[in-house]
Amino acid sequence: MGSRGSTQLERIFKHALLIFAVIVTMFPVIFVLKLAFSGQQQLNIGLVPWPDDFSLGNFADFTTRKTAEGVTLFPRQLFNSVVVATCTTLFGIFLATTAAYALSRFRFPGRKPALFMFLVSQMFPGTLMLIPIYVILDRLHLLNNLLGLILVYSTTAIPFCVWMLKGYFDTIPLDLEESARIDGASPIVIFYKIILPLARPAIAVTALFSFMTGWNEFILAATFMDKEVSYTLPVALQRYVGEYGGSWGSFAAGSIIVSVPVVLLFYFLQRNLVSGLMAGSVKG
Amino acid sequence: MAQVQLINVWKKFGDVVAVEDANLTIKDQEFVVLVGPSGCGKTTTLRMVAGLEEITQGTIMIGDRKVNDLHPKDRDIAMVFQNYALYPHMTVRDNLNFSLRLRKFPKKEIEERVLRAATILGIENMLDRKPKQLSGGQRQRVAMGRAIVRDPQVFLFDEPLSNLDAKLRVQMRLEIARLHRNLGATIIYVTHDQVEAMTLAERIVVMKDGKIQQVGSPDEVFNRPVNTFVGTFIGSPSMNLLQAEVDSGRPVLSGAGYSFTIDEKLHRTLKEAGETKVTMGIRPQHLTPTDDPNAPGFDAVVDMVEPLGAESFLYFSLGGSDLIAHAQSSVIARGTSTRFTLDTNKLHLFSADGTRRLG
Repeated sequence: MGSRGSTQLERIFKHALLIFAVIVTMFPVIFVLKLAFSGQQQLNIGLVPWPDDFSLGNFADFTTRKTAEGVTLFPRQLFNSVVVATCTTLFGIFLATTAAYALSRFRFPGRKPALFMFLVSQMFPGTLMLIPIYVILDRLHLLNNLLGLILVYSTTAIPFCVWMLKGYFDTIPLDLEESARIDGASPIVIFYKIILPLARPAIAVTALFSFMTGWNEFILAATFMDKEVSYTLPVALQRYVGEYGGSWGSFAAGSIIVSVPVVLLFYFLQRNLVSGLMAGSVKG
Repeated sequence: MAQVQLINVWKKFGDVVAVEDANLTIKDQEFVVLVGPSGCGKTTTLRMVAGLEEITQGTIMIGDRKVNDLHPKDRDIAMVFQNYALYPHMTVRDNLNFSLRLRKFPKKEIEERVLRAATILGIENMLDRKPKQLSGGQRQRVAMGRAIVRDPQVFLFDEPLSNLDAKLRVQMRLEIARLHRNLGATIIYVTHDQVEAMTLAERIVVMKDGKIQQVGSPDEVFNRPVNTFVGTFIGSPSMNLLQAEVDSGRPVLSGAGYSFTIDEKLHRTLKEAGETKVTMGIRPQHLTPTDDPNAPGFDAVVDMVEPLGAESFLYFSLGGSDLIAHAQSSVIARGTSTRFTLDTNKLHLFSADGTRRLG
């Protein structure tokens, strides 16, 4: 009985290994949670996963911090992050879907070099772009400006998004578009009414990727924004830790607050990550 | 409905000629089938009529309009694709009414047309389903429904039955024939299946290597093929071909292991045309085993028997050519030496290279 299954010992070993892997993966997260709810600011790495005292003090500290002029920073910085990430997502999706569709469906001079250049641009480390982008933003008077960040994030996310979306568009049968053309649809109608609804999973992933690019990015934001009220949340977080110590508790509480929107977004987008959208369309 | 005309139409993909100088007139309300092997240019021809493929040279007319440069949506045609091409995210109803909504038809008329098409095809109780909830046959019906609601001048069918199983194919074939009768539509239908072509078409267009080989009624292409390609492509099993020499004196055709007496008038025609060698075509149905040892024909050993119940096909070799004969029963066993006779009135004679019909 159960000759094809693993033995009891094998099962125990596999489960033990998996449980260990989960603990290793989860420990940093649990540690951050413990620190955030401890009410303390010192790093106190203990094995016990819950705090000695439960307090929301660190969250209060993070969300009520003020500038010297008395302006509460958190709402401003949250607003900055939301605007940057949302606009990056919307702008990025608009550019990436249209570009990817054109690269997938139309044949025009420069198509292959364009795809190749997108790929090449991904091979350089992001920090290499820092100085040229800084100069460009300076010339455009977009330093310390959310629009500058939005432009930079959208355009740097585009190559990956275009490649991913193009790969997906390539799998949508051409017959569907030809059928729509005969039905009387213009290229724009085909794109919005046929292609985009079918590319929902790829667009959801692209949206998540773009949002996370805008939401989590630190280096560019820290370089281009030099006023505290212009910071995005990742830059604000960094202010809580310094070379010789820091407010680790507030930093942990801030990290949790910063993570929540991404988790929520993933939760709402995951229902679009479904397979079989094309089922029934053409004979497989 | 409307007449469709192809006038000196060419299609080239780079250096490759897909369609060569096609000339064809499809009459109003006619059901024409383009048939040929893969790569013969039949689908390309259909796509040029649809406007999905630009023509390299020539003129295409639908009704009295030259449509060379018209967008597919402006040609007033509807097309049924080989693999259905249904919009998977829309319900059957939305698939059917998509084109009407785009053309801004009144809501009431859209509903009426959708219901009428659905009723014709027997899919009225599936209107709220998605394509993935339908069987292959039902999907094909929806694809046809999408064409019917448009009430177009010309229906184009691109191998619509090739994805269906054999039984469903026969059923859908009948439905398409009925549809044509009821709608009185001009239909251009592409298939590689000669049975579909023979059963559906009012006229068949046989194509090979981008060229139209013959245009004629099913009866014409079957009984008077213009060359050996048409002769062997139309009809199942395929027409037998034998090389033969024309006797200079007697009205006799002879080859390795056989000689047949032919009609004197035909013999005279061959001689006057200076043909000394010919390719002889015999349909399996006209080549049969016989018990009469004196019957005109030849003896051969049966290599293989294909029993089909009430009848069977016998496979054998004669002078290096593989032949098929038709037997009314299946009593002849493999390896039996058998006398075969043929109906010389049903012989098809072609030039030695098979490109011309001689009689």
